[in-house]
Amino acid sequence: MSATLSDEILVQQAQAGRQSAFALLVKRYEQYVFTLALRFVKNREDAHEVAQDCFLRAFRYLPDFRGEAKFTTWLYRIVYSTSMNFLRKQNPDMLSLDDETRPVRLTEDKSPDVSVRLEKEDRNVALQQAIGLLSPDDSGIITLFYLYEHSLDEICEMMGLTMTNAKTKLCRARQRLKMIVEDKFADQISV
Amino acid sequence: MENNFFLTEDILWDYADDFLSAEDKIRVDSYLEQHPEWRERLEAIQAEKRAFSALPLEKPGPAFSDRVMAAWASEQAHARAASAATGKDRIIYLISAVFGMFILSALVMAGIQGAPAKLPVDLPQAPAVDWVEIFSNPVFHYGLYLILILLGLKVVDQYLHQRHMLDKMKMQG
Repeated sequence: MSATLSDEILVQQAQAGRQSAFALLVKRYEQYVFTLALRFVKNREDAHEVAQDCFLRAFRYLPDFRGEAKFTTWLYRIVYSTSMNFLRKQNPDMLSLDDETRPVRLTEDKSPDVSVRLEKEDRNVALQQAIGLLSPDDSGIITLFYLYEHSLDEICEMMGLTMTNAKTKLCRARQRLKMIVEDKFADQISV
Repeated sequence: MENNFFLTEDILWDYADDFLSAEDKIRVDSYLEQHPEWRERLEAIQAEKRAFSALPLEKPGPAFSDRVMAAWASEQAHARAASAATGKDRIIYLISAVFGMFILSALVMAGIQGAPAKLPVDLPQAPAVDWVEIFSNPVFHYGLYLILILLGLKVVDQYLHQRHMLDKMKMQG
């Protein structure tokens, strides 16, 4: 039954105080929230704490949700700000989840694309680990675009970016990911 | 046109991600037709995209949703308790308001009786109330002190409760 209910209806029911609607929203989005939290805080234990906090904050502020944006867009912002608060508590000097100071290799790579040669499982493990090594912002945008298949418009709304900035960010994130895959996972990749 | 066009991997990714304009797409299509090695690169990129999309989602622990709902229920219970406390406070404030009004009206009445106005007509006299005797009664005094102490304790209790809730909210971030 839960699969048939749209987010809008579940949100309305939750806003009316129906506990089962809250529970269904948690079930529906626990992997979404947990995956993003893990991408940001890089540690499963911390990601559990952050993800739980995200849902509690979401429920607390649900009466203010007017449905002007998609529920996932709104939820992403909560995950982002909760992760940011969590990381700032650990490192008060941190200003942003984005780390633009990382080196980006912009030269054309003439080597054959190694990832296509990966066995599927090895590739998954290597990619998961490589994404884990990206900055929170990079892994966030890659997860949103390729894994959750959010459109670039949605990502702009979620992350507060212009279209050009979002494209640039995605491009750089991809380049950094490729660099990490080639540098750190060469053994697993050279099948 | 093709002579000036140079394909890069970034452009190819943009092509695969469907970011290119219709005009640029036609350029890339045309370039790919003439350069099969780049066609292979495109296929590699598309395979990489499929690999991204096929990544399994991270699963939280088995009882995660139960823990979230338990935490939410606990938070709501606290909110209800706070709300109930606010309701009790209203009753206390109402009682104190009535009590205050009573004292005020007693003082006003005492003032009026102390300086009675001369009326143009003779009205039937209301039974005289000896306010001095009432106010000097020890039972009245002790009762007044007791109520003031209770109200003071309630204010202190409210202050401590609010501080506790604020500390808890800060700890929860």
